[in-house]
Amino acid sequence: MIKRLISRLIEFIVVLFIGVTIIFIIIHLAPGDPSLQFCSPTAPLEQRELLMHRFGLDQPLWKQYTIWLKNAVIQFDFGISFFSGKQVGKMVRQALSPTLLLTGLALLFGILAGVFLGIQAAIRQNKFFDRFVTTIMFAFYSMPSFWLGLILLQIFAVQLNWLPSSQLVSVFHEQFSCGARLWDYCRHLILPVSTLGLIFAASFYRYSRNAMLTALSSEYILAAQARGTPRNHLIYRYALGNSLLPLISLVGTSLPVLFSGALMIEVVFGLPGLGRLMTDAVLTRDYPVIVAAALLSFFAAIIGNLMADIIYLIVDPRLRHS
Amino acid sequence: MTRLQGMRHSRFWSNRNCRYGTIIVGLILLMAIIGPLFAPYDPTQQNLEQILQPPSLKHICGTDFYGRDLLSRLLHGSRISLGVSLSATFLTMLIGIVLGLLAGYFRGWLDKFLMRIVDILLGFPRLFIILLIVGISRSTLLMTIVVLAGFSWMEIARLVRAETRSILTTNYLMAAQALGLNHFRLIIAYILPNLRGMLLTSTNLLIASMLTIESSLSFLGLGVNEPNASWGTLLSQGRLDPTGAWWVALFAGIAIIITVVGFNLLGDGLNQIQSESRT
Repeated sequence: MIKRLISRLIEFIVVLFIGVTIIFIIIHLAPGDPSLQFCSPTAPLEQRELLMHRFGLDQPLWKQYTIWLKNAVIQFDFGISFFSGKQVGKMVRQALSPTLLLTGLALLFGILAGVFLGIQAAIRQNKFFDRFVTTIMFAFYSMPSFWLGLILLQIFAVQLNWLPSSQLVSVFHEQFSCGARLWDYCRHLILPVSTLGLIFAASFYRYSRNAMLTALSSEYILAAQARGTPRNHLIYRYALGNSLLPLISLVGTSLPVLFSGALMIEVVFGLPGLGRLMTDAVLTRDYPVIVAAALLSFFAAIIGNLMADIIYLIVDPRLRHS
Repeated sequence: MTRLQGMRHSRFWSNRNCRYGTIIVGLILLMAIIGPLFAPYDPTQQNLEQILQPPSLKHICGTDFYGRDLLSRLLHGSRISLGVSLSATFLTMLIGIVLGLLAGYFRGWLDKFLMRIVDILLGFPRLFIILLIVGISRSTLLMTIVVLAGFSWMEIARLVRAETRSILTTNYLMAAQALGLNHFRLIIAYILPNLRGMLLTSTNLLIASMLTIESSLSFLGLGVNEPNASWGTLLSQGRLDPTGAWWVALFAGIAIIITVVGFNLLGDGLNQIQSESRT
């Protein structure tokens, strides 16, 4: 089993390497010129060449690539942002915590609410509760996350003015006491977390309801029923135990969402997270930031898959013994 | 034969998801085809005396920032939104089916090679990559479609491959092989027809997700350029002025949701019919 994990790990490193290389090539072969972000197209050619030289873009592609790779691997140095002049590594790290906070909370909410409602709906199949929740969840499932965000923003921030509409903290955040600061964070996070959480909940709901229905209609449940197993035991131990397994892989594959899934939500709510960093970098052609952000999201996808593998190993006794 | 088709038909129609899905999708498609003919105003005609009018009898969905009639823009936008998502889906299916069949039917090194590519591409963060390529190349609609398909075909290929492999073990296929039919005949006449149900389901679900991604891209300002507008573009214009003009984002969003719901319903329903007929 360890062998399988190691071979997966090697595979992942290959994916990471190929992914970053492809990103690098795409970025640098794409038409357009980042120096045009800083001076008008009519600026003298020398000025643009100077900028290109400063960014290291006058070098041939393979040389830029090897330099980047060397710095990234050996010194963990991802270069300096063209646009803000800051260390890219630091920018990414700063953007990481709001994103992780947002997506972590939303994912938690989504899993808890989605799985709980999914089980409840499945054991009441075709009753009013099931129909009602399934319809609502289907609507959330079909909704673009950013639209839900806009609507909640409109209702709670603009019309009712209960909650702030953007940013992670208030302007006077620094002057608040400790408790007030925490409250400030909460107020700013309620809308984005519930938006994203509802969207997550919808897909977890669909999944767990289906898995639960499949489990409930299987023959071992019938057999257990015939033996006189109490209903609660039947549902929560027998059916749930078996339907949780595919759910784990769903959670694992949705872990990359921790990093990139909030992209649209961050843009809507103006949160200074990774998603917004990425979009801004793409729009301003900030090459080092794009590459670093891409690296991170590849990494996230890999970690997610790896964690799903490991959890599978822990949970499923059949895998452990084979 | 006709009786069998009749049964199939009624089973399709008696499934609630299929029925509602078909009706919604039919209406939406009808709207995209003939809707623009009935648009009350020119969708690009600016009327600065009537900017940001709330919904009224004159402008059923209100007007936008430049006084353009939103209903007309929605009707015209449906062609772009649906056109992009349908053609991206078509391309995705095409790539996925061809590569999946190749991998599943011929196996060997080709299978290994293709599945390795699938594994690698599935590890890519999709929205971000699409955003990156579309954003950086200042792309055209065609480019957007190609990029959407280029990063979406993998799941289809996987499904087709798995299904093909299981069909290869069936008796009727071995009988056909024994008749000495060539690979092409076998694939076209014996394997593809059996993939039909699965492919129909995935097509519908794929259209729904394409529509969402396209609207996300347009929302970020990377999709369709002014003065044309897809539904996502209209949505993003609603964001310009969140203080009052709620209708700008609302109606475009509702159009997107209804369409996505329609295709999802149809996909779910087809899936249910399929799993019923299997058991």
